[in-house]
Amino acid sequence: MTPSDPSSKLIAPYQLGFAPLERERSLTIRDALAAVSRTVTIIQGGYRPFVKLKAVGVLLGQIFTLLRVGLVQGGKGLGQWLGRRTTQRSRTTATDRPGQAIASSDLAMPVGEQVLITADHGEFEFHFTPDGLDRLTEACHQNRLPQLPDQLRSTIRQATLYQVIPPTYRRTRSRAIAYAQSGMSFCTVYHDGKDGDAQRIVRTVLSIDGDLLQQISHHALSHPRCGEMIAVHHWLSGQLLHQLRLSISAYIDKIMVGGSLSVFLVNCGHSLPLLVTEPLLALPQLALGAIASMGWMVIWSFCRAAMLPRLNRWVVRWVWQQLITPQSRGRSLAGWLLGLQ
Amino acid sequence: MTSSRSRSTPPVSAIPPTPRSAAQGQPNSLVRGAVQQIERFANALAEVLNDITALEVNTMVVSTITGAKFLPEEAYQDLFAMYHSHGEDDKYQPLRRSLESSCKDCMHKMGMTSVNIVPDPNNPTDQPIVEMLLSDGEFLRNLRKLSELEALMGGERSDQNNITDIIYAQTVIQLDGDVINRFHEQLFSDRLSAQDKEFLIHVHSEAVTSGESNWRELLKFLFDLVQRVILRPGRDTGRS
Repeated sequence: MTPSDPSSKLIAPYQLGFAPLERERSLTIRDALAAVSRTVTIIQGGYRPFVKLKAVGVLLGQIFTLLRVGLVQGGKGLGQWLGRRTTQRSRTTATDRPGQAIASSDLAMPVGEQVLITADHGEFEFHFTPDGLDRLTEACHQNRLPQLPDQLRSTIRQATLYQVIPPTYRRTRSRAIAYAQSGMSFCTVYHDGKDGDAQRIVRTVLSIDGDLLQQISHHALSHPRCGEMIAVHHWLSGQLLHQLRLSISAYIDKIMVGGSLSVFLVNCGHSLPLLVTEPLLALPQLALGAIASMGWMVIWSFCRAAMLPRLNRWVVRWVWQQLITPQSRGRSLAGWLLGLQ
Repeated sequence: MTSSRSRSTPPVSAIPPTPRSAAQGQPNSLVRGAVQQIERFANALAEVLNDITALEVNTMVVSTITGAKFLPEEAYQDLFAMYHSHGEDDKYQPLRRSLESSCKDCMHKMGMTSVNIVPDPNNPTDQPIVEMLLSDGEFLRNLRKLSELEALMGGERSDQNNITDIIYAQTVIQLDGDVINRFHEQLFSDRLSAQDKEFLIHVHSEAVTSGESNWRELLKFLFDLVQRVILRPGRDTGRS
């Protein structure tokens, strides 16, 4: 075992967010698309004509809902993206200010960030302050899922497959090398808010062949919140591993919804001058645009079952191939694909 | 600490044992090499199936958690040094035997021979053998476990009343459904307070529950990937 390089520990700190509770959750594109798929199955199935006719009516309503949800989610996504950009700028400013960071000899956390996850070649560390522990314990009890950043998800998926050793860690320092992953390690580091001390509380090493080693720090046994920290540690590592499974099909669906929306929006764009001058004359064009979008969705729903498994397999093979070849552009794209939720 | 996140991953030459073929060859050989590596990688993952006989959860209290990371080359170098420097020390005998056995099994599996039972990473003749050993998934997993144990044994254990660096509880859940629990005698001695004893048993049972669930998720993800890569389109399972 080699002592870690402190500066490399926090190469990729990820802030943790939490998904809304089930009762707070609004309709997503996936839900809407699943409803459309179910209705299409009824239309395709051996039901009586009036049932099928009713399903067609329902389908029209569902497609409108899908378009609405697509627009709302798209707007939300844009808002979040803009928000992230603003936060990144403010984070840089906050860390640049002297004396505003909780610092210790080997670890540092910017002020205001309660939970951070670092990923370093298959070794994951959870850093949290007392406030972060409160928040995690609450999330754990409410069964609130953490929203993992895409890149962290990609890193975890890659780390389950192989361990990349960069040239700086190699004796020859010639090139990076990848080994089949032998095990994943999760460590919890507690940053006490009072004196800024960082203490490693618990570490688990999970091997693919089914060996789990749990190490608890002797000093942590006397800590009043040790039990809470260990519970949160297990819950958090579980949440990381429970989000491993890749559903590329969901993204292909989203692309198709995007295509459908584009058809509608392009049509609206064409009709815009007419809509301003002669609104009544523009209505048929808008209706035509909506029908074209629906047609697109219906065709996709019919093709979905036949095409998707093959397409999915091809994508997975391509991703895997790219990840272990040295072509950086392909690898970056594959890494991005692996980060998809 | 900077807040910027780099999206780039470090460049990877290749997965051994053919690290240079992919990096140095022409595009065609590059693709061929990559395909071979995918197959080898998929086979290595599929081999894990053979190793899976049980889930074993160990809980230990350690004097310190260092945050050390596992680097296969360094770990092998350290174990090799331990193999020679602590030859007479009884404490290291089980580790030495395990290292010997791992090397012997792996070399036998790969059809390799070496003058040394444990190949010398500093000897140019043995270096290719060491590279081959490190390319084997099973050997790497053993190496990791030995490395963890060696790191713990390196500490000062002169004090007989020391309560750290001991595996207090072990649970083995076998595939046939048998569950074996083992507890260290120290867990029932007076050296630990009643509160600590209860706490250790509680966190161990927590680790068993979470370990079982995490391991299942890990395997699901890996086998899903292997299945998608290995299976031919004609044997489509219909899953998307």
